[in-house]
Amino acid sequence: MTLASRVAVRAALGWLVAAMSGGVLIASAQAGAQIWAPAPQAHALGALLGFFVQFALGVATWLLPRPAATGSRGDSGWRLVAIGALNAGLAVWTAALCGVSLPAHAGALLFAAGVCGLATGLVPRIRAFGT
Amino acid sequence: MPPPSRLLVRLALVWLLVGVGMLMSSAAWPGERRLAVAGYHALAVGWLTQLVFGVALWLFPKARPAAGRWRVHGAWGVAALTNAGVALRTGAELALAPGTSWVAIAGGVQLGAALLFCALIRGRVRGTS
Repeated sequence: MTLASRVAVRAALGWLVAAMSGGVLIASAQAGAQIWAPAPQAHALGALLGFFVQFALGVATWLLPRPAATGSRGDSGWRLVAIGALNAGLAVWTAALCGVSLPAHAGALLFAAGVCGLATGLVPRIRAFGT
Repeated sequence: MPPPSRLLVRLALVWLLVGVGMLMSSAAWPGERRLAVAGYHALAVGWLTQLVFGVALWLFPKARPAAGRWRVHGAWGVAALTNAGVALRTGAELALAPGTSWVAIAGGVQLGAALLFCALIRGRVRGTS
């Protein structure tokens, strides 16, 4: 696995545990426990975008065919920046949904920029193997 | 594919049918919000998450021989905890009043499945060299 894939997959696993922990807190609060619980939208965003989307992008970065001409999967440094933007943006976005005074729209934009940065590097690799 | 992965993928397909059925039923009875909530959880955890678990346990670089046999048995544990958690979650949403402690217990079982999966896959997220 490439470095960018490993970072994305590990971060995705972190979001999986965070989202599931959030689900337990939400259910406990709804059952009457006097505890803090995240917003349900933050729970859903963490699972859907932090885990599913990032895991899929991480595995695609690893598995999609390399261009035969270069034999390289592309600029790893740029991918790491994109993964950082994706995670920072999602962290700001979910924290804002939970009531922290952070700009949710800026977080969403940063997340989208990170996804676009990763996806644009993958598009040229969607081709028949060896071409 | 190793046997635990085959079981996880087959059960994921079952939850896909269950989840889609619940969402279709919730469209037919718009007042029944519980059906929609149970359906979304069946799809998100039972279908998508379980499919990711099954494929990752099959596809990721193999564990080093020193990793031990517990990883094989652990994969069966992931399947058992995931499906018990989703079944309890949807059952609690539909058969019991939502907001009971059963929903929190179901969440705890699903969290246990996620933590066990992370422990199993952690050493396999590595370079192929």
